[in-house]
Amino acid sequence: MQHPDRQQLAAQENRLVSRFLGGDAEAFSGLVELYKDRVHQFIICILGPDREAEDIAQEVFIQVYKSLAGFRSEASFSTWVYSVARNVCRRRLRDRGRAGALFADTGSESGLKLPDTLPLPDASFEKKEAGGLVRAAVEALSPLHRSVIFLSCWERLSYEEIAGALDIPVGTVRSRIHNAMAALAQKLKPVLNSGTEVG
Amino acid sequence: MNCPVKEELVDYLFSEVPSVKRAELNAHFAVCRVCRAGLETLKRLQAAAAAVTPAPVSGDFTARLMRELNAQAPAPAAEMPVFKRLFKPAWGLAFGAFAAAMFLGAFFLTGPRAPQPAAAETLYFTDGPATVNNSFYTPAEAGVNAPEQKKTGFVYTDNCATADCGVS
Repeated sequence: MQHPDRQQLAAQENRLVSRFLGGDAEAFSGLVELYKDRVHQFIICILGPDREAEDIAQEVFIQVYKSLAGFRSEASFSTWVYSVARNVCRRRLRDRGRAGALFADTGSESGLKLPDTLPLPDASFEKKEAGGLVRAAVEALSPLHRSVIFLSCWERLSYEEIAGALDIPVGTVRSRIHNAMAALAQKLKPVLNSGTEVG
Repeated sequence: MNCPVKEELVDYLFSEVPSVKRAELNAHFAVCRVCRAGLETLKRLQAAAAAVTPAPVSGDFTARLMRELNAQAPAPAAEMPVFKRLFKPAWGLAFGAFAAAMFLGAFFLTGPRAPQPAAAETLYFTDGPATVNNSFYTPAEAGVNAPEQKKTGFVYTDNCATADCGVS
């Protein structure tokens, strides 16, 4: 999947949203195509690897479909979609009886457990393996850290947009991105120190 | 300037510093090897995290979703031909309701149940004593009768009514 070009993506989103609101239901499938993997990944960021992640993504898009008529372009479409996804995840967690765990900055990491530092790569360390280690390291972060890393590094949303998507203050976004980067750096220390180009 | 704190380095990395501050930091990185190395590490970390591509959904995700949406409800604002838009059932109902309201309004305002105007003489008051006035027109008569066809009317005071004043 190609990394999104923000401006190009925004223009494409606006066209599709306009077409959909004009009655072209097919335009919605275009929006789904643009966002299905990203929303799926965001759900995994929040919930961790989850068998129901795809079903939850479907639920998110159904919610988006029903609410799109009320979407105002004050926020970017991506921010809005992620805020819908966040709410659906929150509802799902509440149903599962652990809503309090969502975005609670307890300092504990959930999901896959990795040692504090990853094993040193051997001489034949390959780019692909480095990518796998980075993915594992990101998955080992807390849901909050995974979410801000995804939204800032992959989606390249601004602090303000991330604040809108996660419904937290901008100052909190700033400190949490810093903490997430520090946690990720700690886990990837050997990779980063090896001088190997990761990713 | 002093070396920036780590939060400032992260802000710089994500382009979240004002342009003036950014220029200061650029100048600092040019002379500070430690900060330059720290920034380089952050850039590599960002690139690594950005390379973690989103986990793909299954191939029939969109098709399944669209089937589900079609089963639940039609598109919210489907474009209709002008004729159909003007004459769709909602408009018909609205028009029928409006017509019924107009008919009932006309019936109750002009029909036998219409409110009757108050007797003309009750509109005429003076501050003076009750007197008979032989050159008085009621509003209904004004403009209909010529001045030479004056009729007898009554003037009532504030503190008496027709039956009590004994002027009839």
